[in-house]
Amino acid sequence: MTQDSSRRADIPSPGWLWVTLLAGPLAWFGHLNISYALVYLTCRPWGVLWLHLVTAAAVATIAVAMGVGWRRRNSQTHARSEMTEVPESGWQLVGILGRLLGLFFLLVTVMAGVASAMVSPCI
Amino acid sequence: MTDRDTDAAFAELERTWASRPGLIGFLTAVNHKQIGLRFIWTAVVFLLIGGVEALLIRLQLATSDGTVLGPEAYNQLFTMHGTTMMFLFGIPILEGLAMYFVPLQIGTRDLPLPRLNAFGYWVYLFGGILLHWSFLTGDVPDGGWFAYPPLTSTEFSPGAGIDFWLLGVTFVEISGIIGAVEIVVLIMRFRAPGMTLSRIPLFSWSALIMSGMMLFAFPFVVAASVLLEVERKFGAPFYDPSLGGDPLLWQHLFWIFGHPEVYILLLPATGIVSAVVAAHVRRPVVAYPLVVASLVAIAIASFGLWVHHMFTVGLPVLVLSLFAVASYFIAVPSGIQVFAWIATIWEGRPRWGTPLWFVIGFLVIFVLGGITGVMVATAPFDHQAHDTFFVVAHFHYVLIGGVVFPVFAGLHHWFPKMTGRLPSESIGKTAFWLMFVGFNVAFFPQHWLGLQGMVRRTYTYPAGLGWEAANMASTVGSFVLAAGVLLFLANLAHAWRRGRESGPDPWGADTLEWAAQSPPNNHNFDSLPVVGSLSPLWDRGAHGYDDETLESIGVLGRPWLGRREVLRTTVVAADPEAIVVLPGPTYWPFVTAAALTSSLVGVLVDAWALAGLGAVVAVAFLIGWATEDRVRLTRQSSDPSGTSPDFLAAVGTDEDPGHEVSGSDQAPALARRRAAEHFKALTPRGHSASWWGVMVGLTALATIVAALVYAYFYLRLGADSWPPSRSSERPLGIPLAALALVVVAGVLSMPRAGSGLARWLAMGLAAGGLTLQVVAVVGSGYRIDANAYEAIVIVLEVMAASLLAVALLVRATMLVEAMRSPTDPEPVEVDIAYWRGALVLWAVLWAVVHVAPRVV
Repeated sequence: MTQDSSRRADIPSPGWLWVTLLAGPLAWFGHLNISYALVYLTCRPWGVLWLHLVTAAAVATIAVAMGVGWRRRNSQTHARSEMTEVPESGWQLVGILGRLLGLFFLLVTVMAGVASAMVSPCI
Repeated sequence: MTDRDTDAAFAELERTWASRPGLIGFLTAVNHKQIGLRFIWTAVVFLLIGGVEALLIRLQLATSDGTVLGPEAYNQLFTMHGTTMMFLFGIPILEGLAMYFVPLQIGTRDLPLPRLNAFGYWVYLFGGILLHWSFLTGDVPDGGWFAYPPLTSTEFSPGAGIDFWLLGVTFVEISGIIGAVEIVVLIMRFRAPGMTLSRIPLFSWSALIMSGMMLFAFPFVVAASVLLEVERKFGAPFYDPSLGGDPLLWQHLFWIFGHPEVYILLLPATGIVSAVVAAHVRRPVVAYPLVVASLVAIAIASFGLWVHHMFTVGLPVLVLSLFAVASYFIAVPSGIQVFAWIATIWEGRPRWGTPLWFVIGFLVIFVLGGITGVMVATAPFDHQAHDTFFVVAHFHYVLIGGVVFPVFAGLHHWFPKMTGRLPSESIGKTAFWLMFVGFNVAFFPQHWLGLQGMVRRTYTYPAGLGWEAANMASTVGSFVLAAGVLLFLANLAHAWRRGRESGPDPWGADTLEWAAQSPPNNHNFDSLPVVGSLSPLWDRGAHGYDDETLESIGVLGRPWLGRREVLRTTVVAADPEAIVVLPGPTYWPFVTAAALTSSLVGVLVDAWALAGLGAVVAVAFLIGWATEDRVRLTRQSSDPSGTSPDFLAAVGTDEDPGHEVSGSDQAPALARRRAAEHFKALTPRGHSASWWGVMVGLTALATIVAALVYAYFYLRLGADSWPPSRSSERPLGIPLAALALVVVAGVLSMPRAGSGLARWLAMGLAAGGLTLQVVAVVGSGYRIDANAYEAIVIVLEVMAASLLAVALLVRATMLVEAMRSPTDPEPVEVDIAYWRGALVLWAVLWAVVHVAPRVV
């Protein structure tokens, strides 16, 4: 138990961990719903640009959050393999979840952005 | 300590946590195991009812030009079959399993708000009875399990059938939300010390995620149902395009709930699979972090898929593409889980018993259902398959394969824990094969029928289309499936009386529920465990009493003054935070649910006096509930002197290194030292369970508000003029005065330790704000049946006023309570939490009603 306490002292501030955990899902959810609403407004010259800007903003948000999580990963994992072993500390798991969810929702957002680039909002 | 002392401590614990005997005990029970079992067996009864409905449907379709059922009865049966299976069987049985086993898995003694839990059961039971009472009145719901308007409007469904559906389903969903609040608070705050987030068993993770999803999904169907019921009772045209409404609004609200609902059912079922696989292949599920991440990813992504149920309503192609992308990607985390289970079985030492066979059946059927799910997520294909039997086959593969098979695996797996008896393996396996073969014979041909053009929800089909053989096979298969279900249940019923005794851990499983007796005694654990591992029972053997093990240290090993004590711990690290005292048996949940049901019946039969009386009585009962015997039910030790002397002695303090009490003499010195380290700094801190319950409940309330605000803006976007010409913009004078009063009331409530006088003053100001709000609404001349704008504005105003009225009631009750128990911080923090949340939501609604029409 003492060991756990000392580990907790090493890890980054929990605020950052929650940001890395939530950034991906929230950015994706915002991207999906804003894009849905914008489809009705973008069938005009250059209107589709707004869709791409929303995609860029969502991707950038997720990427920054993942970058922060990645830079601080060592302080959470203590050189243990993430995929094969159960992390010791609850905070480590939060960090791992943040990076995995970020990666997943980054892919979904990028693919939705590709759809925006390939399909006309006018049909 | 002598054996006699230990026996005395055990007897005292049993007495403290016991329910009352007889009928009184039945009506007053709050224990999580009793309530969980009631959910499970009530859900099984509804499964049988829904199964009979399904068999009648299949008999009708067995031959062309069938005459078993007429078109009206057919409509009623497919409506009630879907409603029963989705709302009365699927969710309740999973919640029941979670209520029974999660407290055991995470090493505590009960749910944190046990009376609320009992209330949830009664609401579920009464809601289910109300729905099926329609068979006795002849007004059976017949609008499908998704009740699309305009079919369900009074014009096309003039009887009371749809009202039965709307009110019954709303009631049952409220029960679901209550259960979700319980489970979220339980897993976040009442895990055994040392059970960090990374040591939570996968079934408990899945229950936590299921409950979180319910808080955000169920309010949407509650809001949609209330709007439709208001339309039917008062003519409010939310879904009537001739007066500015839109029937597609229902589809959006319903499927924002309805698609996550599928995963709300599926995720806890996958948690059962993880528990069964680990125990029966004798190794932990591989890639634990990836499996947890997959659960979370599926839960979140499921809220972005609802439009794929609406691909054929005429939305722009780009919208279809956006939602198709999300629908494809949800297959990724689902696939990760499937591969994790396969890898675990591959790497482990499987014991091919009945539970594992049901898991294998799940894997085969669910993967097939997932593949057809990707097919229907493809918009061009969906345009061909929509509303055909292909879709019927798809969702039965997902729901029976993905939910019923895992639930049956779980029932067989956990049955020895619930009863202390082992079901027959040979009968269990026979039941499995009947179900597996019967299911595939019943539903695989429906893919082909759908592709041949056989549409859903038509009560018969003409001869000569070549569909007879496949339909007959489907009917035969459904009867074989039903035989398997009955055999499975008969096996359990027989084993309950005559099965072999199982002992506490017949499977050699790894999680804490198997450390308790079978069946568990009233208090679950003689002393609360300390956990240092994801698989505490397996690691105990390997390491002995180490910090990587389950430790027996005598924590809360003897009740103090007959109080039901549990330990509250922190969210991430599960460090001990406070001792919490839970309430015992009580009538309040039952009588409150009964009063609410009578109010609901009043609405149903247009007996408004009964409806009002029932509501008033229910509120009175709620106040009685909140003020019940606070001396006996003191919830939280406010200082160390309020902590049980046995507990302090067992764990030691800075001044007192501790001495032998209550069974702790059995534990080696090392464990005692670590236990002392764990608990010596325990000074009660953090918020009470009630505060957490209020905060989680406010999340659901905020989601209802969000659903109504969504409805407002959806109607606004579809309107040519907003407000319509009839509806003049309301003057802002009185509403602004109301806003000012409520804002000042909110500011006065801000200081956590503010004086009682300030809170009384805030109450007066808020009452003034509420009065002004009512005056403004009445003076506006708006009519609920005039147009969609006026109708939605009135609904938003009523919602805001209700929030404020409840805040006033809560404050009055809690201030009185604070005077009765001045050292107890709970009434004040509950009051402030609700007050803040309600006022913020009130302000949001005010802005939507008064600001949005002027700027959007």
